Formats: sequence, C-alpha cells, structure tokens
Amino acid sequence: MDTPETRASRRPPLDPTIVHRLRRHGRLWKRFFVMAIAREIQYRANAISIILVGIAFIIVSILPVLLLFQFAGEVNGWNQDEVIALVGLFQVMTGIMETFIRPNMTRFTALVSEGDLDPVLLRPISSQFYVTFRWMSPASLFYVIAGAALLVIGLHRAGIQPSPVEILLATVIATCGMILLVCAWSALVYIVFWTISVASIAQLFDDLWTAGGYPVVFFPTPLRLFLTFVFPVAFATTIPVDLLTGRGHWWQPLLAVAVTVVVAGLIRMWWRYAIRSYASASS
Amino acid sequence: MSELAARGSRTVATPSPAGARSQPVIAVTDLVKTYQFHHQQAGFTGAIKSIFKREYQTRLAVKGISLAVRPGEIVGLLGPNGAGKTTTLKMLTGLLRPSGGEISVLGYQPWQRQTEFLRRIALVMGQKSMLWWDVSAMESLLLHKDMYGLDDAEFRESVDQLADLLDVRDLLDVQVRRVSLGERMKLELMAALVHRPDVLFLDEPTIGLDVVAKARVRTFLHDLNRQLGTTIMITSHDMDDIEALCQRVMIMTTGEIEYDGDLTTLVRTIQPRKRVRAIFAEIPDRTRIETTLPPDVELLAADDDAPETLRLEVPRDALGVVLERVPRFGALLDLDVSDTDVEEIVRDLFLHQRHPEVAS
Amino acid sequence: MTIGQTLRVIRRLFAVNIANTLAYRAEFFIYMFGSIITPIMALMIWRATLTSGASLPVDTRYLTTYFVLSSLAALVTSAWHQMWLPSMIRDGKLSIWLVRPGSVFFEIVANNLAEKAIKFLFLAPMVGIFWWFYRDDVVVKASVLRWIGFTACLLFGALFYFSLQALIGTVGFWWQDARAVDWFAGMVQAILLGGIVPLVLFPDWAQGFVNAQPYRYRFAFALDVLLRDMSRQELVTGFILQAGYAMGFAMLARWCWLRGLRSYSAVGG
Repeated sequence: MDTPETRASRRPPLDPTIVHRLRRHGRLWKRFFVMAIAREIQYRANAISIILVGIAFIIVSILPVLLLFQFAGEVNGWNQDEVIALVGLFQVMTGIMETFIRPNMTRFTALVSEGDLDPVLLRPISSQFYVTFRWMSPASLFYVIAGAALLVIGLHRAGIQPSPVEILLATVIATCGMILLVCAWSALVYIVFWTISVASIAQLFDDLWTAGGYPVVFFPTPLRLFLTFVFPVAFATTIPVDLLTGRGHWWQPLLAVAVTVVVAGLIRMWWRYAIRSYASASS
Repeated sequence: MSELAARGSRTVATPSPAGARSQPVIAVTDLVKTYQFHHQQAGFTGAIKSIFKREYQTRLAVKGISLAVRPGEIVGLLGPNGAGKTTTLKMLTGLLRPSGGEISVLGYQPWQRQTEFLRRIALVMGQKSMLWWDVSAMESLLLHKDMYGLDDAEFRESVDQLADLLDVRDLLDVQVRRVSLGERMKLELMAALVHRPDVLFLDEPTIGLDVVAKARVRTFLHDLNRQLGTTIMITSHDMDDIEALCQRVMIMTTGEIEYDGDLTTLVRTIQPRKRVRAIFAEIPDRTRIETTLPPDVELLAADDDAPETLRLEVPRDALGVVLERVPRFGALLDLDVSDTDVEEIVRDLFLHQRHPEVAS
Repeated sequence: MTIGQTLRVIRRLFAVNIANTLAYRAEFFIYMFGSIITPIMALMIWRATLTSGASLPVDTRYLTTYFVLSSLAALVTSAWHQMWLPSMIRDGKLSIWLVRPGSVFFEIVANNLAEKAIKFLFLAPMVGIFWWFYRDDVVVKASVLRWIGFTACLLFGALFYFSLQALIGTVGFWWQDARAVDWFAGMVQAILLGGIVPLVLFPDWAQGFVNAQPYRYRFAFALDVLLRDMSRQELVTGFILQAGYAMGFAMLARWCWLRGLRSYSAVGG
C-alpha cells in the first residue's frame, strides 16, 4: 500500500545514510551527558558519596594484593608492581562501567515490568541504544582518574616504559574488553524480559567482576578460559597489561577485535529477539 | 452484522478538512491479538511443578477487527475496560505485534517500527507519562528535538505555537513532577506534537482530570485537527470525550467492534441516559413524585440504608425538565448528575440489537 | 505476650516468609551462586601463591578448608535488615507494627531464619561441589569439642551481626537513610571479615588489631576454633570477645532502638 501523501511525508527522510543515523544518536548521547552533569551538580551530596566510595573501593582492591605479596616476590610470573598496575586498569574499567553502564542496568527491571519500555519503542531511535546509554553517573569518572594514576604508578615502580605501539594495542584490547563487558552485562540483563529482576543479576555481575582485579593466570586453566571467553575480564584487564609489560602477542588485538565484533552482533540479535517477544507477549 | 452496526456504517464520515484523499491513513483488516499466559498453582508443589511443565492459557484480546480512518478524521474508540481498545492502539503504534490480520498505518506496518513511521505518529497515554519526571518540560522537549532530528528553527517554531495553543509557556521550566495533573497532560500533548506527527493516538487522555481541564484538552484537540489536519484517534470510556470531539465513533467490547459510524446516529439510537441522584432532608414521598415525573424517566428503587436519597434515570432530552422539578420534591441537600456507565450503554446497544422494537 | 504466644507468632511469620522466599527462588539461587564466587576465587589465588613458592604461616589444608566452609559460615551469620529498617521508618510502615502486639523484630527474625533456610538449601550443594573438587585438601579435625565451640561461636556471631545491622538500621530514626553508613561498613568488612584474606595472614604488626576487631567475631573466629591450633590464651581471649561483642552489640542496638522509637512516636511518625 502506498504511503498516503501527508504533510509529514513531504519532509526529507531522517536518516538517509547510516552516518546520519550515527550522528543523530551521537547528538542524542551528548544531550544525555549534559543532562547527567546538570543532575550531578544539583545532587552534590550524591557525587561526594560516590567519590568516598571510590576511595574505599581502591583500598579494598589494593589491600589483598599487598597482603598477598608479603609472602612471595612473584606469583605465576607477576610481581607486586605489575599487579598494582593491573588493579589500576581494573579501577579504570570499573569507573567506566559505573559511569555509563550500571545506571542503566539497574533501571532495567522497571523498564520492562512497569511498561517504561513503551515510550522508548515509540520514538524513532534505537531502543537498544537508549536502554544501554540513557543514564549516566559522571561522578564515577573519579574511579577512572584514580585508576589511571594507579596504573601509571604500578608501571613506573615496575620499571616498565611501554612503547607508543604497545600503548595503542593495549588500548585497543582494553576497549574491546570494555565493549565485551557491556555485552556480558546486556546478556545477563535481558533475561529480565522473561524472568527475575535485575538486582540479583547485578550482584552476580559484581561478584564475577572482582576476578578482574587479579591477573587471569592466577586462576586454574578452566577458569582462565571462562574469564577470557565467557565472562571476558581477561580482555579488559590482564591482556592489556600483558601488552604493556611486554608479555603480549601480536595476534591478541586481532583476536580481541574479532571476538568483540562477533559477540556484539550476537547481543544485537538477542535484543531484537527480546523486543520481538516483548511485543508479542505483553499487553 | 447487526442491524445497528449496518445502519451506522452506512453513514458517510465527514470529509476531512485537509484536502481528503481517498487513501486511508489507518487501515486494519481482521486484526487479531492473542496472549498466552501461564497458570501456576499455589504452594510448594505448584512451584516445583512449574519448573518442569507450564500450562498455558490463551486469551483472545482482539478478535478480528476491521476499520479504516481517513486523513484528518477524528475517531473515537469507545468501550468498557478490557475491551481491547488499548491493545488495538498499541498495535497501531507498533508497540505490540498482531497475532493475525493486516494492519497498515500511513502505509507502514507499525510493528516494524521504521524510523520514518515513528516520526509521523505520536501516542499520548492518560495513565502513563512519556515525559521525564525530574527535569523541566523544556528538557523533555529538547530530548524530543534530538530524538526526532528537528532543527533549531522548526523546533522553536513548533514549541512557540504549541505553548501558545496550550497556554503552558510558564510551565516549561518547571520540573514535571511538580506540575498538576491537568497541566501535565497539556505538557504531554505538547511533547507529543512538537515533531508535528500526521496521526495522534490518545489513550484515555482525560482520565483523572477535572471538568475544566477536560474541556481544555478537548478544545485543543479540536483546534489541532482544524488547523493542522492531524488525524486523531482517541480511546476512552468517557462518553463525553467522544461526544465533544468525534464525528465518528467505534464501540468496542470484548475484542470486537460492535458499531462503527456516526455519533449522532448512535446517540439517537441508544439515547444514553443520565443518572440523577438527589438527597433530601427528609424521606421524600415516592408515590407522589412518580406521578409528576415525565414518562421516560425511571425512578430507581429506594436504598434501605439511605431512604432520603432519590435516584432517577433520565433520558438526555428530559434532563432539563427533571432538574427543574427535583427541588420541588422536598428540601434538597445535594444533587448529582452523572452518565450511565458505558457498560450500560453497550448493554442497551445489544438490547436494542436483539429487540429493535424495544425503545431504551 | 507470653513466650508461647511469641513463638506461635514467629512460627506463623516464618511460614509466610518461607512462602515469600520461594516465590523469588530464582533470585536467591543467583545470590547464593554469587556468594560462593569470592571464596572460590580467593582460594585459587592463595593456592597459586603457594605453588609459586611462598611460605605462609598456614598450610594448603587450612586455606582450602577455610574457604570451602567460609560461605556457609557467612550465610549462617548473615543479616540484612539494615537495608529495610530506614525505609520502614521513613515510609511510616513502622507504625503498622507498633500498633500490633509484639515487636517488628518478630518479622525480622522470622524473615532472617526463613531466608537462611532456603538459601542454605541452595548453597549446600554448591559448597558440596566446591568441596568435592578440592576434597584432597579439605580436612576437618573431628573433635566434638571443636564442633561445639564452632557452633557456639557461630550462634554468637549471628547474634552479633544481627545486632550490628539493627544498630545501623536505627540510623534511620535520625538520618534520611543508612546507606552511607552501610556502604562504609560494607567496605570495611570486605577486608576485616577475613573473606578474601584470612585474618591469620595479616602482617604481624596488625595481628593485635585484626584479632580484636569485632568483624572477626562474625565467623572468622569460629572457623579458627574449628581449624586452627590456638594457644589457651588466644582461645580464652577469643571466647570472651566473641560473647562480649554479641552481648554488647545486642544491648547497644536495643538501647538505640528504644531511643529511636521514643523520638519516632514523639513526632507522631
């Protein structure tokens, strides 16, 4: 059936190319960010408490490492300073997740159970984009700064000066790791469409994530594989630091990108399936 | 097809003001929606059983409806709760996927949720806010601006026009959570219309509003349709909404459309009545009152707990006469006029269908 | 209320809470799975440390048994009402309880026991699997006296922690909510409970503090009673502190609760 001619149909299409679509979503993200900053400034006390929690989190992450290395000079090829650097990167990743991802994930149950998803589906934007990135907690960027400092300190104390190529490759892998973690988060959270609430899933994610504070080689092989390919903390913390400390392999960035593309595609498909079943099953 | 429905659909719909084209904006054929939900027995054994086997029940929410709406029409979908009105609306806006039948809005299949489709429609739900609560209305509007890809000039022009039409200019910078229900509905309408959709869907828009606010919303929608030619589809279980706005009404009960056509014809045929409740200082003399009432007016049986209360069912055209006479029945303390329920109207509709010779 | 009535009420509340908990069984299953992840990881890390040639004041057997049992011990001594006391106070739901005979703590205790019962059903098999994987190194000395001591310490530990959470919850009478205090406590206990680093592995200069601080007496001391050979002096001091913290926090919590109730009723909460 042809589109009847209406006032609106005479307007140029909104997204003639995918670049337009990306740009429009980029502009939308910027607005989300600006609004989040404004909200953070308004609720200052909340921002301060986030920073305090951040400091506590650093202490809780570092202390076991320091206590552990009282007894050994190195564990499975890692010395204390290298592990400190890893904890720093772990902090950075935690900060990015706390800032951009967690605020959305905790709202997810209400989205589905209280029909808050409908207004999202009505708008000409990617619903998956909205649901993943709408809310932000900019104060948590403190974790990123603190973590970056710790990373630099750790590398310095270990006497390591990575080359620019190594830094670049490490960043690539870490970015892939970040994306994979978002995918892991999403995969767990989309279960909410069919059952459960997010609270327990969020707790599970946190418990698994603590593994990211330790080099993946500290764990036995089966767990290592799990932490690389199922719950990919290895890509987020261990492998990038390996690259910075000269222990990496050239094929690791390629593997990371390949795995990320595949997994991101799967998550996209899963979202589509979830929305489809939501639209078929809900009332 | 019932005689009444047949009579209704032969009425020609009012031609749209925006230069009618014969192609419908909304076209639906044999639309069906079923749900499956599972049955879980209570108790511990029930919980264990449900892990292994789930019993599903199917519910038919929309049973094969057909309708067509032309550009510029204002159409009302009237019916009791649970009739399937909201479900139909959600299918038309792409929120739900139909289980069967054909559906087309502006030439698109709504459930595919294409960008070009979504930017041309809008939905306002009386019971669910589309705005963001803890920021000002303007923030919500700016989010809409980015979501719908409006440029600065068209955004500003649209906001100005709507703010004036709805008289909400002072509210734009107020946090939405602080605004009263009636004003919030106006802001919802504004947000829904800032991107100038071709079709506006409304689901119970006046629910919970006071009389003044309801009137304002109705006036606004009327003006909107007149000035911009926006096609409007409203669901409601409030007869007055439909009466004030719609030339054409569809009555929906238990998933089917029982009537689709002219409103005046419907009103004339059904003649929904008003309920008058009067409370007197002393128990009124019912037998004497009954003789003074006009012939169509029915005096309902007295309530033993409240013998001073008189309840009447009055046809609309006799309302004026009745209201004039009620104060003479005694010392009047309180007077209340309300509609008979939609359920009653619909019951009347069926009664008339089955026994057309019986006048309501 | 008589003791008989009290017990009947608690039993009824217990049944209701069991039903409620079962309704959310999937969530609780996931929570329990999450709770076992930390000890599993911690054990693996310490074993990796040992294989790298570290010399620890304790052996593999102690470490393995400690971590296998720690999640169970943590469950038995857990309490979570500090999260909902402030919201009950804020929302005025507390008033509903105040007009009923019997304390709101009947519900809290019933809920605590009921959830623990269901959680135990989920956790025990998981611990069983964990145990089986490391069965060569899990050694529990079978002396009855130790088991009695262990159980007694766990009971005191449960009382201590329950009281501590109640104490944190009473913050809700005076402040908006207890979240900040709860967060802080959570961070502190992540270290001082001995969940990731057994307290015996803290540096010598910290041992005095670490052994005296109250969090040790939630379950870490009980595990030491069961698994470690301690000197008579260490045992005696430990038991005194175990009982002392339990009683002390219970009394403190009760006192704060009554003070709070008084001020709550005064403003017609």
